[in-house]
Amino acid sequence: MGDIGKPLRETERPAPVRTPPPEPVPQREPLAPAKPAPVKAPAGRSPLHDARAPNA
Amino acid sequence: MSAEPVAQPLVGFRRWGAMRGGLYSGIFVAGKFLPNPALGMVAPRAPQRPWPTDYDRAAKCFALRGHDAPFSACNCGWAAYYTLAEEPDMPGHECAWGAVVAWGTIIECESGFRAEYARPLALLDRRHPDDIRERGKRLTNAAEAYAIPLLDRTELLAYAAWHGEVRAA
Repeated sequence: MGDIGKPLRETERPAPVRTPPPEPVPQREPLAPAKPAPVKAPAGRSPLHDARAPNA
Repeated sequence: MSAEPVAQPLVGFRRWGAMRGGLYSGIFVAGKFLPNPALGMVAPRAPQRPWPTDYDRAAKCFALRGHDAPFSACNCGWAAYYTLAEEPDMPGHECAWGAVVAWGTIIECESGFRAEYARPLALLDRRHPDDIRERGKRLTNAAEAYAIPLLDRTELLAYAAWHGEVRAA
């Protein structure tokens, strides 16, 4: 280190808080188009279920 | 001189000799880095130690009749400048510039300060053009050892200011 000049004042300072500085928010990838919601089967017994029934 | 309490740590900029991941205090003479010449004068065989990576070491004075560091009538303490030049000088291959945060007792001088405690905050991404040692990774090795970022000047100034007071010279 080179010359920093004559003393001007003496201070007493607190220790730094050890928390990481805020980081820039990362750019998010554009979201993929939403998939269509699955078609819900109508309530009740399905024809397939009926076909597998033992006494159909 | 009685110590005036100030609410914030102080931020400064300084250069080290960077070798094998360690940041050493010292001087550059004719392009050659001499680590800690004050210690070398009072204890020539004492091993040179880099700034610690994992704890905060209090400054020491190597004068024969020592005193607590920093002392206003001495040159002891962790030293740094208030400002960072646009293009800081690179007097040797080992030269590494960076930002420090300082606290405890601080002697504030005209263009810089000497502190009781200081630790590196970040390194400036500026290397000596002829430096080929450590496979060109001298600064990267030091940044990794101290777990600090390697930043360009603009980013370094902003990053340093987040950690404490930045004084104008």
